[in-house]
Amino acid sequence: MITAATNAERIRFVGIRGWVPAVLVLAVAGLVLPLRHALAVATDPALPPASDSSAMVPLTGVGVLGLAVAAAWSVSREYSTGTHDVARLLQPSGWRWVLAPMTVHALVSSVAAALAALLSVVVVAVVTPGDRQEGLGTMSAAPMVARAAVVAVFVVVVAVAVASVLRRTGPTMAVVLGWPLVVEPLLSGVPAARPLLLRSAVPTAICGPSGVPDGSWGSVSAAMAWLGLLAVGAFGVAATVSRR
Amino acid sequence: MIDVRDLSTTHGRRPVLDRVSLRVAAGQVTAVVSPVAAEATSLVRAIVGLDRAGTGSALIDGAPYGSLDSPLTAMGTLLAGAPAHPARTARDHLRWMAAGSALPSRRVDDLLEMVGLGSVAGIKVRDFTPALRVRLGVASAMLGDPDHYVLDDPLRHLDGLDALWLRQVLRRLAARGKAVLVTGDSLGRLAAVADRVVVLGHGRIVADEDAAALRAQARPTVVLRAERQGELFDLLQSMGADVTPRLTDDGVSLEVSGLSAQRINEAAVGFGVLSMVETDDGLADTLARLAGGAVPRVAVLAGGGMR
Repeated sequence: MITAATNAERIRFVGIRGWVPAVLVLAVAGLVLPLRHALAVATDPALPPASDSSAMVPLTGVGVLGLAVAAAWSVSREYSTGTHDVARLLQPSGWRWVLAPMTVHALVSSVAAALAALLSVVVVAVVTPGDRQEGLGTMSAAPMVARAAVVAVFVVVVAVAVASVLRRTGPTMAVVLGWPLVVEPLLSGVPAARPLLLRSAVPTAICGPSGVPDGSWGSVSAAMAWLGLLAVGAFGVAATVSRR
Repeated sequence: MIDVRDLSTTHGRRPVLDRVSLRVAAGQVTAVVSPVAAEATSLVRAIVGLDRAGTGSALIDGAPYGSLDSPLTAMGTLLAGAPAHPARTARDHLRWMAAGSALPSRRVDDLLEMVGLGSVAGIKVRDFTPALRVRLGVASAMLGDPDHYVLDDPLRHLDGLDALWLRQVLRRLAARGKAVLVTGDSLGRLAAVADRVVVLGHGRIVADEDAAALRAQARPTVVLRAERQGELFDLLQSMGADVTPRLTDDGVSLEVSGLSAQRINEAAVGFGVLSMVETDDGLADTLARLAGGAVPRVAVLAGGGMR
């Protein structure tokens, strides 16, 4: 019956045009901001040359956050409009209605993140002059594109879990936006907490440890494992709460 | 059969229902009337497992809702306010429900036509009137063609033809052998459709009455406008009704009381009725008496419309 719940979620997602935020993220983090970066590198010799990592900076910040906000907003609206109660009538098992939106949002966000990553590299490579490029190309960026897709899944799972636990749009948005924009900048002053922060783990997991200001993970796999652990834990909490 | 046994619920720490026992038989419309909306809503939500029962149980043909393999084919539910995502169309809402319960979606368009939403099936729910939302909720409840129905306060936003339509739907379901439980706060409006009326007061069942007997007692207040208003005025007065002309935005209307709704309807036939709205079900005092003082005074004065 999880297939039925996921199929229903797909209809819901398409019905409310849930893909629109993903397209916006693609446009902003994959096109507009990388274009701005490329133009800046091309015109300002004081800036370091463009690379795969620098092209993906907008995705690791604004892009991933945008996907998380869109997913959390969409799911919390199900609760605030009472639609979640109707969903529980269809299949009383609560965890299915946590897993189904996670699956659909994670899938869409994953594709959007991969496309945005690829597009950002192409845009920067096309706009930036050859002598202002360093390690920039679609082939070299391929592993990062794949990792961007995986990281988007993890972050969106956490965001949907927050929405499923809090069940109100206001508090959900306060957490999903407030955590990276308010709490993490404060915690980044604490050396022990620094590696655990999303602002450090997300860019490290996608681009690698080099060039990440707070990056002390040492390796991509360690950062990826931390994000995966967060996602699994968040799903566990949401599934447990939904059974109440 | 819907079998509620010794059901108690709480809202936070506040008790809502206190050992309520109730059987909703097949082929009957059973109305649960409560002057306090939370009580009836809690009953409905506990029956379908959305609210956890403190004690007792609610069984649908011997099984709790949560254990049903295909709940929509066993129980049709209309929750209070007929919730649906505002950004979704009526058709998408039903398609979503069908997919979520692994039902074929071919019934969707038929149901939309059946409830009178065929022409607005592609319109988003946010643009629906409350009456249209109730129609969509009724279609949702009927999606799996279940043998049991619970509808929480469906008549609240319905006037005139919409209320008549819903009464006919509920009667037809009962005639097909379905067990129907409908809740609300207006004794008169629910007695008009039910076979049996159960009254909740202070979280307990305080009365269990035959609906026909209650209907006979009802003396509603009706505001109507007709083309031949003067002649209708004379006729109603000659029948013993208390008739008062009222100046409204649409012109002069007649406020009629002192007769049963059926006699007022019969009298008005042939006078070119333009509008007819029941403003008081005529049983508010009866509900206050049955509920044992559970009805706040404001509700009695307003004809039970306290929600």
